[in-house]
Amino acid sequence: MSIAPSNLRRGFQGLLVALAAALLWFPFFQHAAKWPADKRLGGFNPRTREFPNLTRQAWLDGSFAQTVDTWATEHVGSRGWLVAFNRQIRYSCFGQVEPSPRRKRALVIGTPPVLYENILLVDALRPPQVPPERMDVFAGRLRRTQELLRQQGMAFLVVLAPNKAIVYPESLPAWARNRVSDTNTDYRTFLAALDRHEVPYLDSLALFRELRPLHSDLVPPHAIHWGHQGAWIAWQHAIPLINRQGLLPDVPVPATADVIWDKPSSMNQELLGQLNLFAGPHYRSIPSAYPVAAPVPAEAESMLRVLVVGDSFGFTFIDAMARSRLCAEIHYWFYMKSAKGASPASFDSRERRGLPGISGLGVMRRSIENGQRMLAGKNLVVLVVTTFNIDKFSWGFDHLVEQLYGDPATAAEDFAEEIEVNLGD
Amino acid sequence: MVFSSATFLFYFLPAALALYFLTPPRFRNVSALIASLVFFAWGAPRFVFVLIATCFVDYHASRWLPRGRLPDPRRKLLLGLVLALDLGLLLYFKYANFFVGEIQGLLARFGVAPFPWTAVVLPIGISFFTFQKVSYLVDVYRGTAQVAHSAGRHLLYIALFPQLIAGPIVRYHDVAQQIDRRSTTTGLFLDGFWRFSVGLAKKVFLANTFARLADLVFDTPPSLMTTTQAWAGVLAYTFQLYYDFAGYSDMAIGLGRMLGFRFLENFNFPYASASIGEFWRRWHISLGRFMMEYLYVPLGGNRMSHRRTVLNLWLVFLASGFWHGAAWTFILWGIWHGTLISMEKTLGPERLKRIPRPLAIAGTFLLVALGWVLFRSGTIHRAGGFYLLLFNLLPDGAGLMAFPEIMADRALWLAAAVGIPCAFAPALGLARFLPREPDDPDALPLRSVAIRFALSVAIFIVVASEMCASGFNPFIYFQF
Repeated sequence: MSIAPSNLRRGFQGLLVALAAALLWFPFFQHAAKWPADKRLGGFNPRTREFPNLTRQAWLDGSFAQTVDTWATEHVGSRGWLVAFNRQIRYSCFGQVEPSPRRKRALVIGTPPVLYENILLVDALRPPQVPPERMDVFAGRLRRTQELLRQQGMAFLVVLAPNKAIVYPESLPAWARNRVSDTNTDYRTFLAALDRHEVPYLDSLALFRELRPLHSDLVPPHAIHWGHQGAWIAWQHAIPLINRQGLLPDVPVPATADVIWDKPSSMNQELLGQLNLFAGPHYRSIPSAYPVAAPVPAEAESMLRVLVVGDSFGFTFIDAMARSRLCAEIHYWFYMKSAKGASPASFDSRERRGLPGISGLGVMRRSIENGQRMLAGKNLVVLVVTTFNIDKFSWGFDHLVEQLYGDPATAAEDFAEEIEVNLGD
Repeated sequence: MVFSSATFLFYFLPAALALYFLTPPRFRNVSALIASLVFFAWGAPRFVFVLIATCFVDYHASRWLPRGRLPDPRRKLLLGLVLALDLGLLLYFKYANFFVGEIQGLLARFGVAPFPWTAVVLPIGISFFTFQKVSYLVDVYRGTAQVAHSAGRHLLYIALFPQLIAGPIVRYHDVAQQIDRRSTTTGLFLDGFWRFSVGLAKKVFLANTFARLADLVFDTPPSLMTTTQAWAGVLAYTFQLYYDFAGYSDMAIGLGRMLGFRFLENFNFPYASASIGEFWRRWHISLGRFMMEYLYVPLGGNRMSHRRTVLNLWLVFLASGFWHGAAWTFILWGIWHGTLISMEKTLGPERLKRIPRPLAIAGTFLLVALGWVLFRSGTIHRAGGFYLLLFNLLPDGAGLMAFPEIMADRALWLAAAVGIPCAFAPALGLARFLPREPDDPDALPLRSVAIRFALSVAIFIVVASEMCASGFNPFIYFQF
């Protein structure tokens, strides 16, 4: 038999019940009042914007409930703080670095602290994804792309971006260290097929493996993409391959006047932005190498008008192109989904610059019209592809070129439409 | 609606509790019913009308079921008719696809083309609330409970949202009085909030962590993995299932307490059992009791010959397996447990007691874990492959690529370090360190109340953050 609770107990328990109610209602009121302000999350693109309309049909077929569930998860009050809190716990307590389960991407921190993108690891651990016959057909199509572009006065080059996990395997976590191999990827099959079809390409994976004893900052330890030095060296090595095509007047290879170690940044900066953390333990600031280009001859300045098609490695690559002062115009078709542009006129490569003048031009879907716009007036097209994106088959660029300049009837749409966007985009 | 979803935690629950507690006590059943119907309609908007209609039929039929209202043969006939309606609906919604699939498979062997069939959508929670409907009708028929005072109260018993879709299966006579009259105190509310948070923690911190390994292993063909990986997956699933379902039951019990209801416990350290019989007295207790009371006893229970008792047990477990899902794997799982428990019955308790308890616990755990392979595999073929691999009768495959990464996850090891000893707590002498359920929450020392509340809030915030970050993750028992 229970005894009637005392006033003290009643008051104390009543207070706790009120606190529990406040806790339950807080997200609702925060969302309604927008106070206190929520934390903005980097890289978060909600699938739902507005609260869905309630209709009889939507209620009965369950679509209303389904959309509200998604909406509730994405718009719950204080979501930004809660997500950051969750990331922080996962990161600080368990070393987990998962920016978003929906994206199925994650970062991996090696020992000593070196940052890897998990997809690079997966790429270097899994068996090759594309059968040799399919790869051969793709390489054949790239060869055809080169020919069609050549007829239009455009040189074409494939730049294979490096897989950091393969270039620097020694810092990987123990479970992965001895298992990564370039033979696990589509890399070798791809290069063999390109060789067979005589498609010009730069293998920066092999290049970086060769150069890593000489340059410490090809792929900075605290970042996941190649650094400015890496992209610059890749661009220097790409130019002879363009010249070898004999289509354009010889492009001089810009010399490196100096390397400035500047803009010290820590792995935290990459992690905080990528993972929406409050704080990370990797405070050590590491300066990055910024090569300074020696001036090129006046007649070579602005001789190139470039379109870069590719994945996220293209950002630093177009920066290197711009620094060289060889380009009058640089457009970058990111995953063939959105367009960016670099404005070389605003660059001064003799000054210390980070990512100067790169601007988003907005959504640019793959279409005939957009293809015409992006290729208009260009004399060089560069396809930048990382090993784990080889199986995306240039995101359909080869088919688009066929549609524009070749036989539209043969430009079958058989490539994967699923386009994965990289971290932090 | 799922308890561990943003819609439930941040919108439905605060609104439902506000509606409930702002309503004068005499109308609280009405507000609880409204909330329950919205809750159910969220996941099964069309079926809510079927639920209301069948409850209406059940209630009006039940008024003629007490002794003396009709001659006994007619009473029995009426009970049979209403049970046939309720169980018929369960059969249709849950098993029609299965039977049609089997028939079509059979016809295909004789070269007969498949006939057109639109797959039936399974209404969420039908297995659970159908059993509660059976409980109500049989209790009224037997005279162990009185007819509900109104159709609304009867509907509330069936549809009460905390236990509507995944149990515990509340027998009518256990809850009938509470539906008519219950007290809600701040102590009981806080105790419910604590229990709800504990359930959330079990689901999100333990079950979901074990699930990463279990899903990896069970979603891969056995031929691609190694024996060690298969065993790791089986163990991970064994603990995932326990913490997932026990976590849900804790949440249901906790929510019930917040509304003033006291539901019976559904789990009592089942993996610390020294026999399969004991396991079933500790695992999904509400199902075990239901089966015992409404199937085993009517079949004759243990009042008949030994052979008949064994057969009855076997039939009960066969039915239990089939209740869990319309698939041969569930039927085989039921047969597995039926056979084990029949063997135990034949051996007798004296012989079982001769086995040292730690050995008996380990053996029982192993047999139960092997049964879960059937539960999780999806097809008999896949389960067969698993068993061959587990017992080294299949050569090791290349191994799972993500296995080393998952095994290097500190969260998994922490979940194992906490979850495994807690699952075996009584056997390891750890039960005294775990929080006990107070008989009277309003008599709990204030310090304990404060500590529990602080822990509840901390768990709630961490779980809320996890939900926001990872999105939808349903409970395993929702599919049943």
